[in-house]
Amino acid sequence: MTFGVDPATLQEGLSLTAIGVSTAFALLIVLYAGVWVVGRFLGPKRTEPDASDSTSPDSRDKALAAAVAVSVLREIQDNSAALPPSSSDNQLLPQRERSVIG
Amino acid sequence: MAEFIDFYQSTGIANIAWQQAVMILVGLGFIFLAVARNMEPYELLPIGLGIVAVNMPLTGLAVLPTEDAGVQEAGIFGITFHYGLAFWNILPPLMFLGLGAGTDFGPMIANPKTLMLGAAAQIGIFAAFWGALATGRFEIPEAAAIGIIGGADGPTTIFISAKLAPDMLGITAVIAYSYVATVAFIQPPLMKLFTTRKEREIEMKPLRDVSRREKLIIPLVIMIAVILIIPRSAPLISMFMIGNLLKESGVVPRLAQAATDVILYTATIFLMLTIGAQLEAERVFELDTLLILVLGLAAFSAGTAGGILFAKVMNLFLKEKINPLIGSAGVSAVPMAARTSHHLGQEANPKNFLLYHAMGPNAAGVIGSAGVAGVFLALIQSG
Repeated sequence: MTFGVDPATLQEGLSLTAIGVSTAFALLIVLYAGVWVVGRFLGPKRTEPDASDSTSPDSRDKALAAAVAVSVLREIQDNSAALPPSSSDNQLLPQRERSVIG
Repeated sequence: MAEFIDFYQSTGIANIAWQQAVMILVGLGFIFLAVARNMEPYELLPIGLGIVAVNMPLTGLAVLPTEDAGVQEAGIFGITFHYGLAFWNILPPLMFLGLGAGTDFGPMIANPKTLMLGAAAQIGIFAAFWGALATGRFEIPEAAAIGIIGGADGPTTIFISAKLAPDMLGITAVIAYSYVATVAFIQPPLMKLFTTRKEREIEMKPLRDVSRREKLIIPLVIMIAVILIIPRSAPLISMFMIGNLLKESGVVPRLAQAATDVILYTATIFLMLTIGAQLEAERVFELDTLLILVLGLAAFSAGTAGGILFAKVMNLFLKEKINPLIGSAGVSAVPMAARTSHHLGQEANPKNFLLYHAMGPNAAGVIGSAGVAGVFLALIQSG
């Protein structure tokens, strides 16, 4: 069955089709691999937070420091409400911070 | 009185054939579509003007330069055809330079899987190639020039036709650009036919950011890989990537600007006028033209279907499904095919934003069709 195409043309057409289709796919697979590799090594670093970080010693310390800071600030607010405004705040702050504010 | 008759007989009015009159009307139709309907005006307007000019009788505008008569006896469109296409074939690569400078590879880099859709959509080229051979009216080189219409890439079609079947250049180019212009009408029925509503509703995640280094290195990788595998595609691929690198380098904004503006549009004027001028009446009123029109449509449809069906096959293996509508953008037709994917996606699911995703297969389609063109040139010319 040659669909009215002479055998020589049919053979040439078949080889052109086979080589053309396979080359198109092979070429784009090669490019796919190339793009993937370049993206893997040169793509922007992902900045999503890592869940494991929250249990690291460093982050635990940070959380503790934040909790202490909040407690101190609440203490300051409570005291400032009870004492006259002019005498209170600098006394309750650590020495270093007082020098900055004062 | 005799002088008057002589003068009358030397006018175009006395010499116009009905076929020429019809072609002038066709040219005016192109001009109308471009101006009044804003359909692909950058292509259809100069093509229409070229058709009108060349079909005026006795002008000799399309006469080619020959060794005997020389350039002085040639027509302006004959000269632009000879030097721009047939002999030097410089206009399509110049257009690729400008197109490259206007292309963003970001979506393709962010989702390289979509490269495969650009390969699958090239099936249309081979469907039309075999259709042309089966008619028994076309030889292998002509069938290849007809098949490449299925790539839906105007400059590639022109590049191949000028090399393999220069007599058919005007017809294949006009048909390719006509189908590219009517993507929004041709593709949607096929896209709906080959997808279910549920598939069209698939939402795709936003793509990752792409670094400047990736955008600089990947065009070089593509250029080197493609040219090493298919050296005959070098005129198109190298110019495309050079244009892209001019833009992405960021250090030569004026060169990138020149490529996307001055060079692209200058090449477009001469290319489209020359194509229009190839549509002389005696070439158009043939059965072959009608066959090419039908085969071009078949090629385009098969390419669209190939991309969609391949996307569906990919979905069988992918964890994160892709919307098969972006497969149809693998036929090139930048950026209309991508826009069509986006519109149909939104029609099915208003939360769908497929435009950026579809630009990946769109760019891959340009590379794929240039690759197949290179294979044709390598095997047919050397064969």
